[in-house]
Amino acid sequence: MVFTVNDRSNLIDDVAHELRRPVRIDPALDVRVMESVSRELRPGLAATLLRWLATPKPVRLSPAVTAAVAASIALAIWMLPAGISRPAGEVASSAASGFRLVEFSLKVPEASVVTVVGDFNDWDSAATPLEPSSAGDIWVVTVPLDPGRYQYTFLVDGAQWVADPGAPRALQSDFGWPSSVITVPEI
Amino acid sequence: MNVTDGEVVRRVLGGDAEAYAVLVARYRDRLGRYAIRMLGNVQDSEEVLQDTFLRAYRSLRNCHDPELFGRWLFKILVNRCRTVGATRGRRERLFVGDEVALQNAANYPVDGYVWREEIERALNELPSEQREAFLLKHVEDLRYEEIAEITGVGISALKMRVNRACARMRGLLDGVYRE
Repeated sequence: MVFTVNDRSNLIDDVAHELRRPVRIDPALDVRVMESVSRELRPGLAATLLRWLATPKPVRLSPAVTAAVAASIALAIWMLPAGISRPAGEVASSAASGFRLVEFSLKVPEASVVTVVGDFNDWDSAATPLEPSSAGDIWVVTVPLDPGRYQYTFLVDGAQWVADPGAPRALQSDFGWPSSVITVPEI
Repeated sequence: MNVTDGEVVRRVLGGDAEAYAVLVARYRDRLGRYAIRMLGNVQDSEEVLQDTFLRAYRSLRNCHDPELFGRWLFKILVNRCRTVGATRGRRERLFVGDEVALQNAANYPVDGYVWREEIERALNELPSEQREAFLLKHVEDLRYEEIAEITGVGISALKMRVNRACARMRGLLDGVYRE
């Protein structure tokens, strides 16, 4: 039987039917995933430390540091060599861990809640909240990131998406909201 | 009776990491299908799929409603596909039609290849945001509210993307014959 797919109301249904057909996924994928999960579970101080470092956490900055942040209103990458201690209020880092500490900041005087959302936190709008400065208009968070290219944006009061004014804009509009790009270089 | 996603998630969070295999087995095919349709490249799709499961495992405590683990997982996958799609482009897209067809050779008559290739070609013509909306709506059969939550895009914008995608697909496929 030969027929023409010229019934416009059914064409999309026919296309969807074809695209719903199962695809073949490598049967070993499950094993690879669970092996990766097992590696995540390896105990030890180093793993614990890495997991702690990899967890985004808000950092309160001293007024002097906050002023410097306000001057840039942007994003800075701190490159801290191993073994150098930092003053209280700043963040620690481990060159051996392979990631850098990246500070995200945004000036929003009237906000109640600000989060940074990006592919480094799976676009989870609640995962990485920023903390307000003492003046209340600069919001800051420091996040450990592996080297690579990341897209991100800020979410203000759970409703307004704001690209980082101090970073390049993402060319792709796939995300549906304005987003910015950061490239974290290798150590 | 199958255990629910929420029960499995709670077991994993309680220390039974092996239980995560249940969730991987439960969602691998559906997520894999979306990734392949979206990225058009089997190798990239499997990498994204593996990365999605691992990221989900690492962030499992952020899954605020374990009973909706599947939707949360889909959100991670959609974003990983966006990132990979943006950085790698849609290379070797047409190869997928051949590859998938070969993998399912017994299920497709020769002319079925043509129809499927035309669909792949038309899908490839869509801008990525339209392809994403089309797949989530018409292939994954999700409601607009669910798609909005997964993609972070407003419902009206999604409807516009889906309508434009359908119009484009009709324009590209109208008059194509299949057996």
